[in-house]
Amino acid sequence: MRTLAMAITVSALLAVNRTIPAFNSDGKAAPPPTASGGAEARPVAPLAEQTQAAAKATQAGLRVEWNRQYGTPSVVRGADLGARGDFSGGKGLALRGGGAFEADAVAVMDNLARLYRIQDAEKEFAAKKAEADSLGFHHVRLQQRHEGLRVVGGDLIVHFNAQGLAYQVNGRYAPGVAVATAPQVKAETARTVALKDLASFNPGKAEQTGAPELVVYARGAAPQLAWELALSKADEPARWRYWVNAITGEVIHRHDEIMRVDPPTPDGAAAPITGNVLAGEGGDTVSVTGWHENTNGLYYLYNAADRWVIFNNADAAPIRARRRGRPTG
Amino acid sequence: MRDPANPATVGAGNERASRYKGTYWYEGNDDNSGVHWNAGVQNHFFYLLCEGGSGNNDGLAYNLTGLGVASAEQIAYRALAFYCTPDTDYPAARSAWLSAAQDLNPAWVAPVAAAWSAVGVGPLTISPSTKASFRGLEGGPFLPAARTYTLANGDLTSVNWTASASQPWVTVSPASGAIAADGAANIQISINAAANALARGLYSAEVTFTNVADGLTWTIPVELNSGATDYFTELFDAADNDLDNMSLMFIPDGSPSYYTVERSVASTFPASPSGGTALDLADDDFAEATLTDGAQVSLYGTAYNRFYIGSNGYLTFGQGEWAFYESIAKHFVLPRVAALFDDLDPASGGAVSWKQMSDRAVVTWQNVPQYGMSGANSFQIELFFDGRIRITWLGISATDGLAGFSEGEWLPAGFFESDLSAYNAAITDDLELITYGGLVGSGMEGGPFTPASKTYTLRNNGAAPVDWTATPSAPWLTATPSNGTLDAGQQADVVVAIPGSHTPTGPGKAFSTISK
Repeated sequence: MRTLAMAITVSALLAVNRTIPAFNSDGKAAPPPTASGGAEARPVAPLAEQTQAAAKATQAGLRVEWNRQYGTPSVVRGADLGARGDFSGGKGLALRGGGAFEADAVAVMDNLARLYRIQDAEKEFAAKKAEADSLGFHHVRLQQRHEGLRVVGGDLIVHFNAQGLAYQVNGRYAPGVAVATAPQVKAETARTVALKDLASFNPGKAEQTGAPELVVYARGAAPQLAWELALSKADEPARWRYWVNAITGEVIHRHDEIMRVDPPTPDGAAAPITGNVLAGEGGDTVSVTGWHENTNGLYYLYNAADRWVIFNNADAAPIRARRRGRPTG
Repeated sequence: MRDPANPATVGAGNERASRYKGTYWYEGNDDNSGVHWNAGVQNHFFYLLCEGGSGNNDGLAYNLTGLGVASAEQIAYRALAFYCTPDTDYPAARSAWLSAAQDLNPAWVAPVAAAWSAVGVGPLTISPSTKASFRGLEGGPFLPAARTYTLANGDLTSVNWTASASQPWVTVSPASGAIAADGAANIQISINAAANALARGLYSAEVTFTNVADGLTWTIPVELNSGATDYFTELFDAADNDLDNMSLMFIPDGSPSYYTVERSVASTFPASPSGGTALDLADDDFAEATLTDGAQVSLYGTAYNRFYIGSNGYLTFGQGEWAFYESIAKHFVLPRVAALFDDLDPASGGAVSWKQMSDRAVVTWQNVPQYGMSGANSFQIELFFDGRIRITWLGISATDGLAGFSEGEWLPAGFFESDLSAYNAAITDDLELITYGGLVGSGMEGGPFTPASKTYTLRNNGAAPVDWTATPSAPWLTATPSNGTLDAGQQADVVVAIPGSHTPTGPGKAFSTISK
């Protein structure tokens, strides 16, 4: 080797999903620029083993519609999804029948495991509720879970007809969730990150409502361990829901769960709001008497029966949500 | 507030879409990404389902028989209560309503499907819905070679489709086909040779996909930037910061991009920070630096005798800034030179200093950590009085951040990200690496990592043979072959790889140094 007259450096950067230094408990973190949006995930094609299982399912009379973002079915429909066939996977959990819809919903997913790439239906699903309807059908909402944590973006509904047979599954399942479940960012650090992020575009005192929950955030491409929490504002009605990456401390997503609309009239006058009943229902004109006042900087729209409240969005003055009755004028 | 019969006529500023992804469809971040505003589509669908009628909805001709509100509300309740989940989007909502109609009365399925088609939600969906952007020098070639879209059919029957481009320089392939029930097809959009004749500028076109059976269309915008202006700005939003040990000299050259760039390897700061003024910067802080003796620096030809040094890795002009939250949009708000726009915290470690020399002003961040994290970031910005600007990065522990120039004129139309590590090296020696960019692999602990390797090509530009060696700096990195001899004008490939053994348990950076 001659004298080192020059050197060319190739940098290699390795990201491992485990250990990024934890934050101080009083720390903050740098949120990513996509905090409120998030790019559309690339379409993911189902794997060969899934499409092979789907071909067999189709032969057995099932219908499989795909979610191209997750590479899993968006809808599976058939006469009896609990019946085993060539397409079946899982552990062979037997349906109990007799109204045990919650357990049977998990058994149906066990039966369809190869279509969805489900590893262990009993561990991955928890029934949230089973609802009966006026036709005598039952609908079981399943929450996807990963090592006991709620998977955000993993919600399925298993539908049973009046004969008690499962005829449809729809919703989203996030396959291949393998994230480690030990947070490297403390819950209180995640709260600080969210508070700082909110203050960066929406100043004013904010506070956490309820304790942060450790979840797996699986909306979009790659599942991430996250703290889910909500912040309320002292100076306006708001409920900002945040997901903060529990490994890197970055904001994954945020949104305000409260929608505000502009006042219906520009001044303080009472304002009847007029509309028409659909032509097919007679086409009559109806008025809902409500009004808009700006005393104390508060705007209200009332309906005598329902007591609607509309918040002021146009005025910079602090506003507060209150419900109170007013006589119609 | 809302008019389901005609959501587009609610009043100036409150017009809402009546067609899925049609006029007034909202794609921004406000209103929680438009969840209420875009509800105009479902409102109008419900109106049409109840009332029926014929007409044209934002370009879609329809002729429907209404079910009446009593039937429609039963379907609505059932669809929402039993078939929708928190992530239900419009295509999934159509499916939910069809399931609900099937349960209640199979005769209602066709009217529900027809009403959804009338508001632009049909069995065909295209993903992603994002713009197909291409760019390149005037005369071509344009990159990328093609962009792929997936057209999926969610219906029980086969669907015939066609695609057409609004400009002759756009190719869509295939341009028609049939998709089986529940099937999908990949379609490529590319720029053809007709674009080579286009003068410098930003061009727009559209590719329109049509479902032959119901006439529903989807439009994918196409954008071509010919003779693209380089904005010298890169956002590292995929843990892909590869700025380490690099120096970029920006030299005003009268071109539309204003500067030409020369890249070189850096292992020390070109200007020693010693003797400079140490700045006592807090987290998210800035300090003013005023030049003496009439000296001036300039950015995009505008001269300044003072500038502001931000804690978060940038210089701004005209006013100071404390923004910590790096984004393309924020970057372009002020005239700025960003070496590492990131949430840095000089109050908890490292040093920031500046000094005025005879030919330049120098600002140096040394070993500054990210807020709340260990690790260190060292970089330097030199503002020469003759208009040149040099940014030098040494060790950078941040994997995110933003670097680049801003004129402070807000986000330029046709902006695209640069690849700062891809600029040509100044030809100062005979051995040149002609493949640019780092290798960024990621994966679970223990591997495998994707991508696991990258091939770099070395070239001997000189007249004499050159012996070379490649030396990885970490045990988890390999270079193959690790040495060789290049005759004059010859090239050789070196594969730099992360084999998966000896991997660290955290993110790491390493370098394969090629020397002669």
